[in-house]
Amino acid sequence: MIIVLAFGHHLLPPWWLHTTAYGILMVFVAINTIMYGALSVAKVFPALHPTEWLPRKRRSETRSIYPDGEADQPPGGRHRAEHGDEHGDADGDAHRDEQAAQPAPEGDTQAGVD
Amino acid sequence: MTVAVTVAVTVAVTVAVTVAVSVAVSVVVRGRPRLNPVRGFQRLIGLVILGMTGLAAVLLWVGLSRTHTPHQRLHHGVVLGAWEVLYDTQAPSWPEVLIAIAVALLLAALVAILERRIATRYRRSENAGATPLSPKIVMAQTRGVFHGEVSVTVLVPAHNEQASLPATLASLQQQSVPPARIVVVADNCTDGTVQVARAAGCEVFETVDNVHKKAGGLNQALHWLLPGQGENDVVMVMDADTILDQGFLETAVRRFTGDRALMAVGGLFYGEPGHGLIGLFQRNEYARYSREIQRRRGRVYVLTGTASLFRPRALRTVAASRGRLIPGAEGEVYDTAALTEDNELTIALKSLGALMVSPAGCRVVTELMPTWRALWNQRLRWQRGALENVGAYGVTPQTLRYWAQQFGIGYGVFALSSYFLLLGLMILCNDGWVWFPFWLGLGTVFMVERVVTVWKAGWRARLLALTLFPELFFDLFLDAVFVKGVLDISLGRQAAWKHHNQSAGHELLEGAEA
Repeated sequence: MIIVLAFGHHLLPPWWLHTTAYGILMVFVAINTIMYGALSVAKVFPALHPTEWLPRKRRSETRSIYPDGEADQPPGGRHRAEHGDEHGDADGDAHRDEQAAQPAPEGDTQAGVD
Repeated sequence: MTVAVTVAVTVAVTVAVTVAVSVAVSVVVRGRPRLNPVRGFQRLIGLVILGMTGLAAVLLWVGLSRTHTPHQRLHHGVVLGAWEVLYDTQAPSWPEVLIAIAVALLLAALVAILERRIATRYRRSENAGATPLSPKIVMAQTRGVFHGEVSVTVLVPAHNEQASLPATLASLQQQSVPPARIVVVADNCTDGTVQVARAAGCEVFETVDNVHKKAGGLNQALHWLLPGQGENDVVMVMDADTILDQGFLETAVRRFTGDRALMAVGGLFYGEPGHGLIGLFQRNEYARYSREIQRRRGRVYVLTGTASLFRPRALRTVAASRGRLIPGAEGEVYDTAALTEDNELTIALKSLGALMVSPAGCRVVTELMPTWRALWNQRLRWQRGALENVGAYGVTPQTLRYWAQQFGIGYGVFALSSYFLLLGLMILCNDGWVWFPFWLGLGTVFMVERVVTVWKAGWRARLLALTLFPELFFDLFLDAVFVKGVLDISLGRQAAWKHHNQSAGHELLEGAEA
């Protein structure tokens, strides 16, 4: 934030405020202030996560520690909708990349894993 | 040359020079033996960051000197029919405002997009040699085998912590999903830490001839513990002055159960009550950090040393990769040369492709520094540690975010000090109140942001945020710490570990590291 008000008793010469150096300092601070202000506004509003706007696919295999577990929905999808950030996604939209067209054959290290 | 062109050229030149110099320094640092990094080169890190951000400021300054320079345009006005005011209509033109906004948002978006793309690339990696902890590789190696339920073994490194330890251990034992084992790692204790731990029913591991503080003590304990840990027997490292919120372990266990590729879960910390204004400053800071992590959907900056959990596979792989893929001595989980061992371990894990998260349900209360001196020492260690960590790793995809963070802090030093210089000149050269409507409006934006970002921390936090200037001075304090850290690194000064002894209520100089 730049100056909103100023007060003093001429402790320094007033003509300093009319020098080129002072003018440049003012513009420098102004530019910085506007840039930080823009970032502040961005922080006030909810963060945008465009990758969450599309529906997510089911995983082709479970990622849980139980080998015979059901192929679950990535936590960033269904769970987030139900529980908000509590179940925030560990690896963001990487889960989205898990292709679920076909179940992965056992031992296939390429399919279905992010 | 317009202000818009000046800003654009400044950003472009600074980014180009920064990347070039950073890569050059990185090549020099990385070309040296990892086990004994050459301090002379690592000393450059702080100067590189401060120098490049200073270059940005100077370029902008020089560029602006070629543009128009605004002068005061004072007017008299009357408010509410009686109050005569002097105001200045000076304000940047709309194109200038829009360009500045665009540059700021584009830079922020660029960093976020790059970080995202890099994280995704590491997660998709199938290169077991370079990223042995990436999800694809871990999934392949654990597919089709049940390694048992998730259990938690807690290591609590403690050095003369008899005062704070009981509350820490109680918060662990009272968890809805309690840990299987609690091991207090007693490091060179001269008080009743060991007795307190045993009285609480915990195991005690006493370090032997440890001269590397917390990291050294934990390395000894992990050497003893890790061989007996199964795939899902996760290890939690928790400070002895930290208290877990209820549900912390339940959330973490659920995460590890649901995703066998997940290598680490970090806590979100908030400050203990008390300590007056200095406590409030720190609580606001931590509240904003937690909010930021939640906005990032739990994506981790730092696996906090206050409370984080790791799969044994992650810790074993880090130990095996040191000296080869990542800095440090082979066989050691923690790099004993790092001042901030938790930050270093986070970068190590990320560099190896590990998946990690800080869920909203994993909250911890941590100790606050009660005096400015203690806070200065704590932050100096954090700042130096962060700078030295990025210096040790150089410019890599996974450290890009951390470099950007340091550049952000560095530029903030110039921006904030210029602001206060301008404010001082204006106050000392004027002989009366002068209002600036444009900047008053922008100031209101800052106030809103400050208040909104600490809203959850309560009315005291909001009130402090609303006043704006106290937190600006607190930021100035942190900037001074940054500059001191850069100078210390550059001059090769010793970095001291100063331990805040809660029971004694004062700081003890615990030792020093080069």
